[in-house]
This record gives sequence, C-alpha cells and structure tokens, in this order.
Amino acid sequence: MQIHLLCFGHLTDYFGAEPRLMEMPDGATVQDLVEELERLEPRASQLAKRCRFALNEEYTSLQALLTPGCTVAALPPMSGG
Amino acid sequence: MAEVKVTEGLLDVAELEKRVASSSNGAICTFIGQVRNNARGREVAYLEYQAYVPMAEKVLRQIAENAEVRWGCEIVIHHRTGRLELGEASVAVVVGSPHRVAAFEACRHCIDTLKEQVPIWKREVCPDGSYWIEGEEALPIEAS
Repeated sequence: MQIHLLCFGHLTDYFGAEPRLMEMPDGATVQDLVEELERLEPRASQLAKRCRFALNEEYTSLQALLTPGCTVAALPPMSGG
Repeated sequence: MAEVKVTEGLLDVAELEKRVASSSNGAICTFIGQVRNNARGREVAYLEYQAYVPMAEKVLRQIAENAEVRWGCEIVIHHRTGRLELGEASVAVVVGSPHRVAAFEACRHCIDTLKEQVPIWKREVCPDGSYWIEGEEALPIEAS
C-alpha cells in the first residue's frame, strides 16, 4: 500500500519538507515506518526514535496500523512558543 | 468560544485583547512570546518557525477549549510561522475571565501545554550557523 509521509523540524534535513509517497506492506504499523526511515537514513535513527507520530492529524501510537492512503506525520520534539 | 490561529502575519495583541474584553470579564491576562537576541550563550540573528498547520490549529483548539471549561474563561491563542525578527511576537495567549486568579492560571497552563503538544518547531539562525530546537536542546543543522 502507499501512504503519505510528512516530516517536520530537524527531520526535514534528512527527508525534505515535501510530502513523500512511501510503499509499505499490508499490515504495517507506525513502528514499521520508523524502521523504514532508519533504513533509508541511518543518520536520522536517533531522531526518529525521539519522534511522536500523527495519523491523519491525530497523535497515534507506534502500534497503530497504517491504512492505504493515510497520512503519517513524523514530529520531532516540539519547540513552539 | 476559543479562537486559535497559526499565521504568517504579524500579531496585533491589542486587537486580540479586544476579543475577550466583554464587560463581564474583570481580568485580561496576556502572555507574549518574543524573539530574543540570544539563546544558550549564542547570539541569535532571527528565528524561523515551522508548523504542521492543520494539526497545530486542532491541538491549539483542544488546549484552549479545555482551559475555557476548566477555568470558566475566554481564550484567544495566535502563533506565527515563517521568519521572525528580533523583538517580534511569536505567540500570544490572551485570557479574559471574571477574576484574575483564573486568568493567570489558564494563561500559564495554555502556554506550557502549547510548548509540549502543539506541532510547531523553531530554528535559531545564528552568525555561526542554524540550529533546530528540540524542547530545550539545540541541534546543529546537517550539512546540506
């Protein structure tokens, strides 16, 4: 299945700020996506482990199942204000 | 009814305060975050804010509406994105309430929760390079 990935903050140095289409196996979870990001860019591994994730604009867990066409946002520790 | 916005435009704090200035409110408490010229011992030239705008506005609304119910007040929160110069306001939290204690507490709660939960990131641009800020940490930009 294909999903949309959005990266923010420091992650954009590794993956860019544009939405990316990612091919993931059926039954994949957010954790599987984290591991795919670590494989694509080992330098981002520590940062990916510190991220929170949102599924369709709601905070989600690493165990959440991805669905075809969903949007996952990778959110490094935040620094608004 | 809470009002929240993530915007590239300058913040007009006096205008935001008018929105909670109904005569039933005896207290208006405003917090303004301002771009500072130094951080962690480094000189700062300017800041760049990036947001996941639709989610940031959704989370801001949840924070503001929950605080309105908890403290019985009216809340407006606006946060800027893009390039901000020294001395400009990055965020304004404005609380109108019948009494001051609720206004102070709600205002403090909203800015503290915003910093933890609202998907917004700050990059400090300094004379020696630029740094993404993660919580209280500064991480140098990867060479690219």
